[in-house]
Amino acid sequence: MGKTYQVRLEPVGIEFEVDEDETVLRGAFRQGLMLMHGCKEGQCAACKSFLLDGEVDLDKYSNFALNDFEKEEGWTLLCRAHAQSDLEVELINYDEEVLRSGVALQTQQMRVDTIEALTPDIYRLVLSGPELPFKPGQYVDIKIPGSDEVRSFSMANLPGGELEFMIKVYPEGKFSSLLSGGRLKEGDEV
Amino acid sequence: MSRASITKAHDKIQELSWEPTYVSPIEKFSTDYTFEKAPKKDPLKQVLRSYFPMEEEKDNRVFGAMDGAIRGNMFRQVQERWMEWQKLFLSIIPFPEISAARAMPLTIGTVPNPEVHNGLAIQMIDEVRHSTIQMNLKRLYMNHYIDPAGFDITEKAFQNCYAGTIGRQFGEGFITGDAITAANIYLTIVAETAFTNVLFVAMPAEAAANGDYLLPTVFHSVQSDESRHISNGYSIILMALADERNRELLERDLRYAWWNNHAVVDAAIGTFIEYGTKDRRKDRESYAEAWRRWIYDDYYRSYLLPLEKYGLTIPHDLIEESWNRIWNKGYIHEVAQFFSTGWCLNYWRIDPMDDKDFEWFEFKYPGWYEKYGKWWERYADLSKKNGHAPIVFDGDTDYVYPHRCWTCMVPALIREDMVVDEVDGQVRTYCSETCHWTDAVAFRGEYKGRQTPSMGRLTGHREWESMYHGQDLAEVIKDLGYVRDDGNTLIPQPHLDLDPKKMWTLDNMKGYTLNSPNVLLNAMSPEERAAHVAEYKRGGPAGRKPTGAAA
Repeated sequence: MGKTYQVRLEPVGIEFEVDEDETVLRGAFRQGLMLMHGCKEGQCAACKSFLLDGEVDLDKYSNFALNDFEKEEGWTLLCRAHAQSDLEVELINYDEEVLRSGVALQTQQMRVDTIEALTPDIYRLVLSGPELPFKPGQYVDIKIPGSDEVRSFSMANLPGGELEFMIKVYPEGKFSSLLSGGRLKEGDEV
Repeated sequence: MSRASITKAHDKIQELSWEPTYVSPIEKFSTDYTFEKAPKKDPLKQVLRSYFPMEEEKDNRVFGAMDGAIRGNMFRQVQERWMEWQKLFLSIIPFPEISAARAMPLTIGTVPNPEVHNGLAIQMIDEVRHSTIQMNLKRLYMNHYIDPAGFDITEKAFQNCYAGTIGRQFGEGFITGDAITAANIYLTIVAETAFTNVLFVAMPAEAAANGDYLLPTVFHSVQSDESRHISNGYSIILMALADERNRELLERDLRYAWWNNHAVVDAAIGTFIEYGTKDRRKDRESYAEAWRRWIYDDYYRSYLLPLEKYGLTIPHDLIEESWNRIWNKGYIHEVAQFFSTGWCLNYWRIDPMDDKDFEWFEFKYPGWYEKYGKWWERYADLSKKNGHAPIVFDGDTDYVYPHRCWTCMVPALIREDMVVDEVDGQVRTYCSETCHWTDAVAFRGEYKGRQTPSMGRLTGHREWESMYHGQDLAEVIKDLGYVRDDGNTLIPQPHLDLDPKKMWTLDNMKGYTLNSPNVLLNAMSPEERAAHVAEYKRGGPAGRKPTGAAA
């Protein structure tokens, strides 16, 4: 946790806080703001915005996405930008309704409710616990028990309680093999 | 201003390359085929600059046609008989298209040549475009056609309707199991090279004849991408043929893919073209005539046969049997009759065939009236709502409800061809020996002594009726969601009259129990079952009960 700064998004007038250790994009997601983005790696230029005021430090990015004269002019990539001061950012592509429609990121402990083999290589996994709000189409990162790695899976059900997944099992899948091998059991916590 | 070089642009794309040096890719899709890496030309190089402008122009023309259709009052002039079948067709077709998009990573991941990958990536973009353009066509129909009910629930209805599940099986065939079996042989070599022609060229011609000039615009926009997909598939099958170890797999897959495509696509498109039309001019092609031209002469003789010299074993017997089913065994007529028998479980309206239709059928298929005429006359009588049962439950109609094929999911309508076998602990029925072989032999972990761990399996509840065994018909229709906004009038109707007094309701559907032929079959003793199957196979055509004493 480093210093925190205020970011103001124009022309929509939305303000939020970012930590200097995280990128502006990640800070926005953390608070449920759906900024336009693509690769999150500084390659695709979808998050390219104009810095009206303030200083940023950029992680490694591609010159195809942001070239030198653009950077000099004041353009930046929000997925690479770490705030060094309070910022005022002008968004280029945005939909105000979509921008505000996000769900703030959260981490939650859930219980394995059901593991069911639907076909020889597709398993149904149901996690239950405190309600985790989400929009249809979103995904969660599930931490692999006993490791720091995560695997991402999209919810297959509608929001309103449990999380349901349909997971394809790969022979060497770090997470999926736990389902087919019986090493993850109903009642376990993830 | 410097001159833009297409060669330099293409080289730049190669620099981006498909072979990452910074990570070892995880093998997500497997195949039992082996490929020797052989340099290939990239067919995309010449069209690189023109691809996006070409697609943009095509899209603009489709938008223009959509506007024109509205202004030209097309939606009030198009034949309702035609539009109703589009509720089924357009609810199905976006799924195979998006499945084809999802199939591209299967081939990209398993075919090692980067030159081929560009064409496959472009195919993925094409297929997403196709799926979207078809969804938008269906939405336009919903917004402007006189009876939107059915168009407004297509995503749900496609997945829970007995007819939709046949289309789903088709689309899933592109993306499951062995990557080459699915994404190359089934999708590109058979479905795209052969059957998209009847799907997207012959069928739209019938649309135009019925006053729908929008569907041809959309589908010709789709079909002009197909030639590039065909050439993708051709490159890959030549590479597969170059390795002799693949030949047995190719033979297996071509048999499965050919028969499955025929069973599903011919059933559906044949019905739309012949039973969804009001154009009974004698010079219009029947489905059999179109099939002979597109599938037999064009695909089989001009495309498939020349591949024999590269070592491909072509299923001549299955191609001839497909023709035999269509021409001599009345496959299209049996299917259309079955869809109409089940009118109350559909989400579209089907009107009776009349004398003008009979005349055309008899002209195109001599002997048609003797087989099918009486049943259609009965359908016309029973389409009037006056207290009697829907035709599927009518005791006086000479029609034996068919068993479903476990593999292709079309019922075993050609009765004498039905095969029954206990597979994976369940008694299953198949429409044909080839469909039986597909389930029992082809889709297994071992084939002719070789290990085939990549091959998929046929899974799921493949007999639709077993989902509703023993339930009341009205409850089933309600559960399916095929009820109009008043909560009582059915979406499906056995006629095209929108007079509320003439329309069937849930009240008319109470008291009839839907039974699953497969559940009942499995409950029989072996002796009962043998007798039942023998009796079934003596039946037909047109589902009639067997006459005379058993052999």
